[in-house]
Amino acid sequence: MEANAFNIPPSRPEYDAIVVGSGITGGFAAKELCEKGLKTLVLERGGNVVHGADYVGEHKPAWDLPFRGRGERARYKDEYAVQSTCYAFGPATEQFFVNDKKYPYRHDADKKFAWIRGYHLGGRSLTWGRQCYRWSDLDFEANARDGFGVDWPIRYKDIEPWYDYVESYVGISGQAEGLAQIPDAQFLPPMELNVVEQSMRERILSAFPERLMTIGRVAVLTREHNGRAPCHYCGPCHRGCSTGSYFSSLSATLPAALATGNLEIRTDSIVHSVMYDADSGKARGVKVIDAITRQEVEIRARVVFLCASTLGSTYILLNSKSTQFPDGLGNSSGSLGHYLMDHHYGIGSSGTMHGFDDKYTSGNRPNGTYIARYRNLDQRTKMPDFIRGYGIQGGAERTGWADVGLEPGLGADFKSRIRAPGPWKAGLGCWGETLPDYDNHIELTDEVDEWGLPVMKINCTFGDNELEMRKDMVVSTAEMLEASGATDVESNDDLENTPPGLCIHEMGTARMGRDPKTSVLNGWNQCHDVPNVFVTDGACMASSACQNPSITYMALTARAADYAVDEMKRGNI
Amino acid sequence: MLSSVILLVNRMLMNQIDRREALKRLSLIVGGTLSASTVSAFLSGCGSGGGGDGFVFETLTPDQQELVTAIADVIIPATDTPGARDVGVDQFIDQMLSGWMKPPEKERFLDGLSTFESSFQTDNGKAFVHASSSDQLAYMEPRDVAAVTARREGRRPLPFFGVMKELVVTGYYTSEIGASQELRHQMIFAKYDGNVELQPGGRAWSNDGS
Repeated sequence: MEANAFNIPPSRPEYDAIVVGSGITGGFAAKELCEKGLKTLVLERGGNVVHGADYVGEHKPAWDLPFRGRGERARYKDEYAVQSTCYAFGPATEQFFVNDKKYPYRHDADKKFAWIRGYHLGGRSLTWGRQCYRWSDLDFEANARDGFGVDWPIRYKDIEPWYDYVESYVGISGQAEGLAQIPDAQFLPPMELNVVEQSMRERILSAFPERLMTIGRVAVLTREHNGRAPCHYCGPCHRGCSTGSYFSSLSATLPAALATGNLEIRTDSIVHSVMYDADSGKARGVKVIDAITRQEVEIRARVVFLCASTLGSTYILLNSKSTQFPDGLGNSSGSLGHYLMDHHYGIGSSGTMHGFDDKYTSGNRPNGTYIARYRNLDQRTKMPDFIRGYGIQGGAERTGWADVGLEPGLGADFKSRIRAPGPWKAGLGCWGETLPDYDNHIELTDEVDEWGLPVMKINCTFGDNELEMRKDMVVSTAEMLEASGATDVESNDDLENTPPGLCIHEMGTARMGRDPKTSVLNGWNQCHDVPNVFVTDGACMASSACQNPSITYMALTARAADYAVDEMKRGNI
Repeated sequence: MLSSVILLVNRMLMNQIDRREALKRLSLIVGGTLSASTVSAFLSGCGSGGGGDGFVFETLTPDQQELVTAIADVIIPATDTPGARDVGVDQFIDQMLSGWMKPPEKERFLDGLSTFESSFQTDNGKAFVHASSSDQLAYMEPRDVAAVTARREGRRPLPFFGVMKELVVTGYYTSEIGASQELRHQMIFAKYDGNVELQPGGRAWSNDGS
């Protein structure tokens, strides 16, 4: 697709809608608003990415990558000091990550936060993990039940039809299991559990009836869907997929929006702030800094959707100061910037599996196993030392040359040992809910970046509940591996190298709530204070649950877009 | 990649970035230093340059190239498939020394290589490259075991032989020959099969999808 870029002035005196950000929620907002007839402008701070042609790392074998895939280590340490700590970063994907020197942020030395981001058309929808699990009322009622955070202004029944709606568009492959804590979607055929995982599922269930290992629910197609081809199991989706086999803004929503004729995309356009008009009590539009020319331009719209990612959207609101909102637009509550959360992970167990020496796999499955939360579901599963819960991702596979090649051995025997598939190893890793805490917050500093924009400071640590939960994660994954027949079971809690942010599920800071005195957004993702501003990315979240969140963000986005258009038709905004 | 280059050239032509910035960004796109002729080839849209130039060693002397090749030959010899020597693992090691290792790591490696040779000469009275394979193997085996033990015990920095062997193994199994002749390499599959019968002598996949 071609995007408006460079120093071309906006084509309209006023758009119906501006969507800030082109990532997983921005793309969806654009699609929904355009399909409902709104003349919509998407503003993307990064540069253009052409679906397919720009996926320079796709299908590159190791011998075609710098240093056989290890990349330019010194340059990464210099320019990608934070991004290079992300599992998905490397020479085949570095174009999808920001240069950390160009885009600085700050945190105290003892409050490390790894802000992993990409500034380009499509955003992190190009590199996301694609795992999709619904929330249930166990999650929506959590704050009200235990008093941490404010009550969600919605319940499962409000979002259920929107889960149906977005999932059937996105295309999620998975296995219906009837688990209340992760309600089933309308799934495309599931990817297979391999023979060892199948055995683990049976043995774990037999030992622990409330722990069901299923195949991951993943936004990767297992059959043709809306004109996109099924997966061909090459492995690393995050390099980009020219067959559109995983869902992204570039493979799905932006093309759909463009097809309506109602969409304009403007790349290299950094939104400085939302412009507030005190007389109308509404936003007038946004102020944009052209990333290349540094020109400032004001672009008007009847409604603004902030989908610039959790920290990006809240940043814009904080930077939108006026007499009425000296602490940031929509911040009459004082909660803007606060209650930042990220899932805590980097913890679990692994072991060696036996009895499958004559079994192997074929194809690089871009998916693993999932065990839904089994802690604190009810009175019977209540844990003494922590509230809320965690989900478990994992898998089993045979090791290869990189492991067997580190064993003792030289010569023809050694070579022939490496030729054979190595032993089966299984692993279970946990992703845990993080409680909302006022002290976890972001702020704008007096330091400015090369565009004159204030540099953000992030203050975030995990709390006691998270640390207690981690003790159980270790015990509980080890016992499942033992029940599966694994030997040499080892557990690891790598919290030191897994700071907040590195999970890349950062959320909160512009939370939804029932009360304008304690929240930024109402039940429609609409700013309590400014009715024509909506925030539908992770910033809106009032709690974190433990499920991978993007499908929930997309459902909220589609629901909010539907409401916004309705309100516009009624003349309310 | 070509579209990224085109976009970059467009921006430069629209005077939005100057030529120096364009060259810097071009070299990042193509992943290395560019000669002036390659750059002008890009800017005139002649398509990608490169290919056909001989490999130029930046760190290893000819003697060192011979020595690392001889060591690699012992670790992964030619069998019914080519060995480490045949895939030019000395070039890979040179690239890692010249461009990937930090200076202290590189110095440690070169010192270790030198000590490897001088100790061998002290023990055997001849150069490693002139020795019999059984003498070479006898010399390397204890060093291999010690290095694996050091690695497993978390001792850092690793002994020279541990680094050497890892470079040889990596250089071989990420080469096209190692990955696709000795092991199996496939990018495109019709499906994921989680229950494949492994035949005796069946080969492992070389790519793990990461």
